[in-house]
Amino acid sequence: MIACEEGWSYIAEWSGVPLPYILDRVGAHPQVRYVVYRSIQPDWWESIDMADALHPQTIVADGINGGELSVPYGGPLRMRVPRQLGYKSLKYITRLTLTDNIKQFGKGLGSAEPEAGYAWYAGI
Amino acid sequence: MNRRDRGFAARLCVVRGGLTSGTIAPMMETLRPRHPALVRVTHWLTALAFFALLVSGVEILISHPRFYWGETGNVNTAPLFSLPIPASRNMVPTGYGYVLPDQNGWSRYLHFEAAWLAVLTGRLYLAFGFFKGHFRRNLFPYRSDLSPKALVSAVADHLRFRRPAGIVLACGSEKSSPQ
Repeated sequence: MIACEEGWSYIAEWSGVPLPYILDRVGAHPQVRYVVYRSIQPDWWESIDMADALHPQTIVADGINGGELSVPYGGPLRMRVPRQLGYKSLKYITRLTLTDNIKQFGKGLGSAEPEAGYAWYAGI
Repeated sequence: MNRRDRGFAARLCVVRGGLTSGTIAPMMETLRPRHPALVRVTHWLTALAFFALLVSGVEILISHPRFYWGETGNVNTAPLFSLPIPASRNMVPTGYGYVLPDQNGWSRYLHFEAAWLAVLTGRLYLAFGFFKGHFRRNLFPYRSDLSPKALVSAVADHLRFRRPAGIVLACGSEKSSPQ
């Protein structure tokens, strides 16, 4: 389910590659504490800590409801972080960065949203 | 303080404080009708929290002024009802040709912080009310308060914004001794 901080939500069947699988395949260092992910839209970037990055429901999605993930829904690649609000499920993912220091990104607040006054951790 | 208040006060003090009505009358002249400090502090903290919840709640609401019933709801589903106001997000079909500024970020923070303030203040007030006798002494109605005549006069006093004399609070506490 996507639940937006605005107050709406929808349920869909997402498919893709679990982020923990990707981290395992690339051989992430044990020192890694955050996964930073960026959108093709230059103002949008996000990060999650390892509790969410290693969660089996966190996936890099390329499919929805049995079909391809279309552009309006974030395709071709969208991060899905189902344990947090919708804005953590960034659309149009182009890059993953693994880091042990989140302060070196942007204004050091962890993602673009806190720079606009929103919470970095948006658990639901 | 009129005659009736004074008689009421003396009666209460006899019942509650164990004092005699003879010693109470001169004391009452000097008492001011004030609530205990904790009641006043928690009152204004609650007022502050309420105001913050109201302002931030309205800001959160206008980001999506549609109300749904069920597991999910969004602009593609029918709302249970929606408010006829403009929204702070352009994806909401409001019928208005403009979008209000987005204030959801700080509003969400303030809303949750104010909710904590309201809850913790409320717990403090409830604990004080129960354990220090505030509810029993000052809020719980006595049998004599429930007679039709007493009820009518209480309602009339409230409508006139007339404060009750502060005697109930004062003679319940040990702040001022008649000796």
